[in-house]
Amino acid sequence: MESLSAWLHAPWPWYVAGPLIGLMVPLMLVIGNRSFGISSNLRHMCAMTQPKAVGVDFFQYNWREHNWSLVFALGTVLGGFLAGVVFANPDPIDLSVAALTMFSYWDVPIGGGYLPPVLFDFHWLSVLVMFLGGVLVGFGTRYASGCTSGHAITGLSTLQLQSLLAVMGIFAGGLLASHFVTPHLFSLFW
Amino acid sequence: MRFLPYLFAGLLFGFVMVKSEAASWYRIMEMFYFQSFHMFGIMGSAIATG
Repeated sequence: MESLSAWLHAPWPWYVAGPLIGLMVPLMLVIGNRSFGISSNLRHMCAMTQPKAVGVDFFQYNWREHNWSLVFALGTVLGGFLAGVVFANPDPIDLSVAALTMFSYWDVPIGGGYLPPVLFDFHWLSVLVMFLGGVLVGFGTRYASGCTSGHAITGLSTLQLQSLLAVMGIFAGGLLASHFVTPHLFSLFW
Repeated sequence: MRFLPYLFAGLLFGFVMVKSEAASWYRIMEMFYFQSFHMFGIMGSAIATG
């Protein structure tokens, strides 16, 4: 029991986590012949809450067929809470030396959390940045018909060219933002 | 009750994403600066398995 508890609290190496994430694709197929993905919930939630008077065509479909997807999303929140709070890693994140050097150069503190304080504090500037980020992510996932889980995991696993293009776009966007936007955010906050 | 398997599947996925630190801002920045194999290992083995 001692070792089980230690294993649940410790971070998992990539060769444990990666295959488990990959197994989500056949798992969803086995459970109910579903394809694994998260971001279409954004559309379902808009479809559910759309007032009758608005009636946008994109949200006119039987969203009740997709209730399972919202339950899945709820599960991810619970799972994340379990892993990050109930079985929280007692040690600081074990980053590479290069990353530690970079974060110390940026004055980004490395605590026990998954997000740096200040950047994600409840401050009007951070709320604004998070809101803008959320809008861009929300628009991008719908415009590309999927996010990183749907395109990178399900799409690439099933060898779809459009998913390869989407993943290349996602990664390119991340490179641009992390190299040319994030460093400047720090000068705004500090 | 018929949704229960999806709840558990989501639970597993959320647990693994956080436990592997793939949901960590620090890991994501480290990935975009190519400073560690960790995230590429997760993605590569996930795609290979799936």
